[in-house]
Amino acid sequence: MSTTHLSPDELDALLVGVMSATVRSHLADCGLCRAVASTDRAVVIGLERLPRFSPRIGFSDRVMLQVDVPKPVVRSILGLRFRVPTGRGLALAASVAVIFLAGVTTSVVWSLGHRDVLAGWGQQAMALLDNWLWLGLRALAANVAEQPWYEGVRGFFASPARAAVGVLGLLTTWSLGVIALKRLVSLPTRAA
Amino acid sequence: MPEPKPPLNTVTDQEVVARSREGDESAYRELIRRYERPVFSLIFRMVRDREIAEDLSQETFIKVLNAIATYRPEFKFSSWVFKIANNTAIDHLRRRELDTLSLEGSPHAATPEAMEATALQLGTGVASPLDDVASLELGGEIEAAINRLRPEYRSCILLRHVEGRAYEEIADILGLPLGTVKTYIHRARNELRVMLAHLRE
Repeated sequence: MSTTHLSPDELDALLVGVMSATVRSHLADCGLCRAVASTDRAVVIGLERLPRFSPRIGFSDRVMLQVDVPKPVVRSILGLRFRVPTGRGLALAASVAVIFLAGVTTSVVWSLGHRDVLAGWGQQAMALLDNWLWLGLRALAANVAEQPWYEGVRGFFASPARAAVGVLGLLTTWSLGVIALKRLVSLPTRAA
Repeated sequence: MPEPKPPLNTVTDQEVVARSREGDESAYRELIRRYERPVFSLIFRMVRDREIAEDLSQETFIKVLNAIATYRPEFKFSSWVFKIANNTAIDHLRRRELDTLSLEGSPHAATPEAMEATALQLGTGVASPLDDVASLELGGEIEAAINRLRPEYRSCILLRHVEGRAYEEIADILGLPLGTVKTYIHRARNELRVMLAHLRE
């Protein structure tokens, strides 16, 4: 007979009907472990048979009175249906809108109070932009004039008749390009 | 045209939760229907006062349902509900230092009527073939023995052997290491064995 009694894990296993040969042999010899296992089983059966209790009638109504159920609101704009945010989504959307509106309002108020500063910045910006635009145009014109094909093209367009033919050719090419693109992007239709 | 949704009583907890998040009030009610009795029974056995158990169960469901958007579906919904229920009951016990209670009624009841109203009514649960005098007596002995356990042991033993939860789930519900849960359950069973030993004589 083994002198070591059953461990808690072995007693646990017995409760779910798992018994190794060692445990079986020990139980055959040890009255104390047999009694423990038997009482354990009786206690567990008693626990499993304890009734479940119910709260008073109307419990769910009382709970629901204090629960915030999100109300899904479906809107349709241009045929696209979407759910208006509720709960946290609504709070997030509202926060973004408030921050945006606060920013715009602050900006407008400040602008109204500092028109002279704003006008000064506007003039400086326009002067800068004007400068950059002219510099850019001049650089572009100088670059084009230095190209080897520039003299040939200039000579071609020197005659009004050739210029008219050239413009007509460009317009025709552009029109054909538009027609080709429209055909490419049009959706296929089912044959009737 | 969207397909009709299956009835709520045929779908899993996760699907009911998903529908409640869409604002379906009947899904909220279905979750209450599924868990009101287990939650109420657990809390009732923890606090031993019907009125307090009602209030704490209500508090549990309000917490659960108002936080449904934060529930993570990769976890068992039942574990989440029991975790909140157990924490609510333990918080109450800590506040009231109510760890040893009488089967005859709430220790806070001032009159005999109040004692009777708050007493544990054995046999008021589901109808059972064991619903006879002997089983009521045994049930009463077990209930009384459970009352004498420490609250942590009581939670563990109720979740394990009354609610039939696995050790891992109990560890998750109570936020305890698995080994601690096993130890608590073994100690609780040892104490119950001693307390109920006279029944076997």
